[in-house]
Amino acid sequence: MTIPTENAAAGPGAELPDRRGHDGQPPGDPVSGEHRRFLAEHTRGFLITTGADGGPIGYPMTVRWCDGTLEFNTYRRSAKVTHLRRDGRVCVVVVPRDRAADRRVLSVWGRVQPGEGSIEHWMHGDGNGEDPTPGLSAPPHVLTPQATPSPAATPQVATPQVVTPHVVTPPHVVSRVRERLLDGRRIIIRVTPLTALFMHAAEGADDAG
Amino acid sequence: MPAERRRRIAMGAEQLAAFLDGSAEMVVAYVDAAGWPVGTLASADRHGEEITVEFADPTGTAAGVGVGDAVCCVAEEGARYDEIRGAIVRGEVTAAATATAGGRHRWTVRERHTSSFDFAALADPESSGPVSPHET
Repeated sequence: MTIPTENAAAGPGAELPDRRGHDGQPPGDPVSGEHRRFLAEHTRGFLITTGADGGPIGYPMTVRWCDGTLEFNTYRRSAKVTHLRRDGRVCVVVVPRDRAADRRVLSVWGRVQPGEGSIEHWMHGDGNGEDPTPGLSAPPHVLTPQATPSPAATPQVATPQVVTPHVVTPPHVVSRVRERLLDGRRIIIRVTPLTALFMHAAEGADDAG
Repeated sequence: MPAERRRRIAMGAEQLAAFLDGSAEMVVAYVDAAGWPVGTLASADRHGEEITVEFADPTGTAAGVGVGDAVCCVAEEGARYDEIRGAIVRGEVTAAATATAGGRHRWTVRERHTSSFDFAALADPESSGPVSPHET
């Protein structure tokens, strides 16, 4: 099952313009196996984008590493989607929720992908520890819809107890996010990683620069 | 799309101030010379309406940020879903220093606009809470 991503939502022919720095390369090193392993293990992310004034804005988000891309979900009409349509360059800072267990912090740079994103990964856990959380984002001024579609108007979706490595999302929240993904009010944002860098290293590690 | 009633989950002023005062780590974000957003984790110390952040910068891009430049500081915490809360502070650098040993940067950031969230407001499916007509 697929839903339109932010690009398709902008209308036919819509692009994700990148108005600044076309020749500029992002910081960091090519994405390595160690980076990928870290991204597969941690879901606490901070999506950094730029606002209309060119200044930075950071959003705490659940981030998932799926098929070589970073995925988020958020409201189609959210401010962050507007920012990403304007400039698709992002930095994603991934911070383990259990900092005592892993002191590393990884910054990843990439571009938002056009096209359609699959919600499959956000609808089912695989039962082997992968985080199936639908990724409730935490944007500023988050205003959660109170009205919910009638059961008859919304495809039925099983609502298991969703478990992240450190946070249990209440079933009613999981169900609501899934409904919003299915009816298109929430969308999947996919980021193609270009570079990455451990900004904080574990004890003894030397790749933090 | 039909209009929806939406629940406001922003922290109150006192709760927000206490949360920021108690946040010892924040993600600090800025834009580098090529226009790429950059973020990293920094130690943080809030005093009044300013936040001092200190961080290492293996990218070498933070040296291009100076007084008057826009930055964003993001704090978030919570081990349980209904304990997750956070704040996004947009502001500008009012003082910047770089320690040559280790290349650590220390910026003082004046708060210009702060928004926040507290998932405790989402934990109870039956609660209504304050309602805002605004769209995100």
